[in-house]
Amino acid sequence: MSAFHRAPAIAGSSDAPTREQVLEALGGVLDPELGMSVVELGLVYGIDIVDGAVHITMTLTAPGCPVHEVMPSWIRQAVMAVPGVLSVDVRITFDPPWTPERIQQSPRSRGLLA
Amino acid sequence: MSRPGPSAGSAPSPTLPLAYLVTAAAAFVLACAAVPALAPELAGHYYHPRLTALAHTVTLGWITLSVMGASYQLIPIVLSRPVWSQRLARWQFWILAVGTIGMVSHFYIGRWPGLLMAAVMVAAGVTMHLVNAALTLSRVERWGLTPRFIVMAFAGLGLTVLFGLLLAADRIWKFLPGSFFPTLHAHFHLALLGFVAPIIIGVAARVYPMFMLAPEPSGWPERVQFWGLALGVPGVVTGLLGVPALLVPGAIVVAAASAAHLTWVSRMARDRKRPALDWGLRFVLTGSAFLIAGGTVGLGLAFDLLSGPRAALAYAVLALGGWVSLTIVGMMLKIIPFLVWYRIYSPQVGRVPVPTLAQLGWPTAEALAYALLTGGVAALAAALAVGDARLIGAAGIILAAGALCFAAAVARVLYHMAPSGRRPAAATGARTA
Repeated sequence: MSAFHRAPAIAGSSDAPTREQVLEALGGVLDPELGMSVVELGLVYGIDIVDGAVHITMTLTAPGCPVHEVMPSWIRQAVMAVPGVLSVDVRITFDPPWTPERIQQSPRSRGLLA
Repeated sequence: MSRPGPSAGSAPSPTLPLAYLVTAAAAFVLACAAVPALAPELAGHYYHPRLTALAHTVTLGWITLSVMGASYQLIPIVLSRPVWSQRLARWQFWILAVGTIGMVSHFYIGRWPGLLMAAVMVAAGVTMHLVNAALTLSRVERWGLTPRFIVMAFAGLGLTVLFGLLLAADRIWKFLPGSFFPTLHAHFHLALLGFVAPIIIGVAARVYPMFMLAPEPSGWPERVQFWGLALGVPGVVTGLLGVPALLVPGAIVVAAASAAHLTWVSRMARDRKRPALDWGLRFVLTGSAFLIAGGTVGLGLAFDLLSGPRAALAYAVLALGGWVSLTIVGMMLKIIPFLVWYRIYSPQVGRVPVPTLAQLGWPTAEALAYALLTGGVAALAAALAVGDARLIGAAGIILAAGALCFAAAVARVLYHMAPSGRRPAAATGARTA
């Protein structure tokens, strides 16, 4: 479905943004239908941070989701609030497709955190 | 009015499906409100001009407009392809709306030339929808279960309308061979099993897992549903039209498809990751349960264990009022808030607090609608089976009250489109960055 944005409380203010901070910011982007964040839903597949440039690979619960085009801007707004982030690039993919099994997995088990 | 929402991906402007869905909801309220008034007629034979008007208010005004509105919203999502022409869809809406009003009013007063003209308008509107859908579908690259069901449904819709046109013309020129009632029954079953059933099953295959957070269905129920309808509907229709030997096998195969659908919905409900069901999903699941009663009475009619107008009317109410209408009410309680939210609040995300979809609605009205509509449909089916006008009138009042609660719930959501109806999420805890 889609997502909306609630206020993330970004901890820390070091110059180099961390994955934890980005994940925390993404935790503020909620699915308005389900009331769960894109992180809780397991929509985030990958986060790469290089010199303040954040690259996020994510999916949606269904291909052709009507918020396909606006989701990246919501994600960008949330992550740009993290101190030290200079740019945010969001790539939507459906490979692999999202399944509900991803909901119960923790960000660590998904490989988003070391 | 608000500024338009973003034009996102392949989805059409939210006002396009909303026009269909809101008009359909109005037809539903009108039909339910007419039941108590038509109680004496409903206690008699179903072939009565006013009851035919009521039936077409439900089938054309409520069901067909809902399906078309939902399909303009859902087909782009389900098929990942934009609607071929939104302009054609808007013209089609007006032609269908005027044609449906014309058909219902001419049925009510029993004027056949006017009925035929209105039926031609409806046929033109349906043809526009079929053209739009065909050109949208032609760009689909991967033919999964849902596109196949949608093609089946729209083929069924085309045949149903063609059949209806012939029946309307036959009221004037009397050219159709065979008896009238078997032809009428074939028209009804073509609409119910050839158009409505595949569209519900096909759309459900994609949106129920999305709403319930359940695994997408697969395996034998999928194949039994598809082939059950693909083989069973021609069997039932030709069986009614003049090859009686095909009626019972056709009905059995359709019943198998219904059983597979129920198995499949139950699996999704059981395996869902969404802990709490909202009222929309409760409507959908309860509507599916009505398939058991409707299917049982339908099989009883096919096997000649039941007969006559009492059983036929109870069957029609269980199928159209129970399974189909409760499912559509549930889907509307999911789709309309999303369309309104998307148009009004989506552009504000990240700038001001916005509510969630659940905060747009009116849960008390939805709960009352659920209790009254499910109870009202069951009571009406029982009262029709008995044939007592007072009981039918009482059940109709319950149903009408439920429809008004549903309308109130929808109106509360639509009120967000007016500036005075909007509410920030701050009061309810949701915030933005």
